[in-house]
Amino acid sequence: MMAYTLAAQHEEVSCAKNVLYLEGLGIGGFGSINYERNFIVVNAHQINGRIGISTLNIRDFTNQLNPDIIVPIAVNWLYGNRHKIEIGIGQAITNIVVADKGQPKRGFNLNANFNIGYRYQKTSGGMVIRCGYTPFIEHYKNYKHWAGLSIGYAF
Amino acid sequence: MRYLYFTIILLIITTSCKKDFEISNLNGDTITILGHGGMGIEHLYPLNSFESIQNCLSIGADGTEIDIQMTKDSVLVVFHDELLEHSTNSDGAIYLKNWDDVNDASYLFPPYAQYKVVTLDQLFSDLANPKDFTFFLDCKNFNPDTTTAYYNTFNNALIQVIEDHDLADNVVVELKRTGLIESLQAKRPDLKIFIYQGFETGIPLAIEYQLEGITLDVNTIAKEEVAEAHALGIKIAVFNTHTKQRNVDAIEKNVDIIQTDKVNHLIKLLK
Repeated sequence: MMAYTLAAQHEEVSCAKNVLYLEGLGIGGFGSINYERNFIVVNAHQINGRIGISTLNIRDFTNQLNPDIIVPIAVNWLYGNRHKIEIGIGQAITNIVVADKGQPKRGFNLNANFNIGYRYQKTSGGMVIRCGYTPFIEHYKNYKHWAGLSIGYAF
Repeated sequence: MRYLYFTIILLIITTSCKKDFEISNLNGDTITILGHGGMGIEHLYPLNSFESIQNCLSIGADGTEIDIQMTKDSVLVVFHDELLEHSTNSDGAIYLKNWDDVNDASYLFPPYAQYKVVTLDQLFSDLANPKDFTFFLDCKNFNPDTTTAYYNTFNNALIQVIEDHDLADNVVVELKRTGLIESLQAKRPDLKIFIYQGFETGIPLAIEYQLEGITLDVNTIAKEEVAEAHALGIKIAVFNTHTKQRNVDAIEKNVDIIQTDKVNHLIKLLK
């Protein structure tokens, strides 16, 4: 197990540094695979960074292999021990294939996202379950209500 | 126990194989495979988006059903719902807006994609080889106007697009109102028309107006009624095939055209 220790208020805490998880819905759209790494851990506070990958269609509308790409990234603040509150903000970088005069064309866009929710995660690692309200502002134009549910493993 | 395994294996084999259907209809004993608004209601491409319709044609369907509505300034828009807010980032009824007010509308789902609402003219301009396919134009006349002037304006706009793209032989017009049927037949008697009605009301209207056929919900018609319509020279098109079983049901009823939401499945069954 990859873990690191830190001294906080004179006690040593073993803390999982990395998390891998699958998110259903959430800031990746319909679902994403994500990696997360803790940057700062002070007492019950944590700051982590997240990056993921997701898609919509693998083949484009002309039936050619031409996958849509969605990369959700975020920074989250977590508070709590085993049961945590999680608040985050980030971007989803999207590269989606749309029609341009009948031809497939990839369009690059940025989309703001937010996250507020609950996370179950032992400080030392193991199973991670998280759920939350994960709205986003699509192309910085349309506010969309959204939610996500994740399951993963901290190590 | 051995017989149980054998039965299970046999069931898996028989249900996964392509089925051979004995089709008897007015369509040369074949069934025309149409997508419902392209790839259907459950696909990631939104119903009636260019992407959905082109995708449907690219994977091997014979054509597609397309929903059309007319704006206040007589532009035909490819869109299903009465109100734009049901599925786009815009709002209001299309018939109360000019095309410039609808032009920026994009679909809400799937997230991040923002596929655009398009006009019928744009659609036919951008599709690859439209003359190779069949298009059922389901005219959604949400506009309560029942005047002859409205019917003429709508049909003039429709005929204009069909003629601009030379698609008279590829298009079937689906209408619900008899006023629109009379108006269209007066202008272009050669265009094929299906009436969008139930079986009981559709049959006498199809006879009266000498229509090509009736479009109706697959769950509302029996195999015997399809045969009855065929005996009268009336074709049957069905929609509401949301499931694979409904695709099979529609085939077994010997209908002429299926507007399916399970396009891939129907292609695998019939081609």
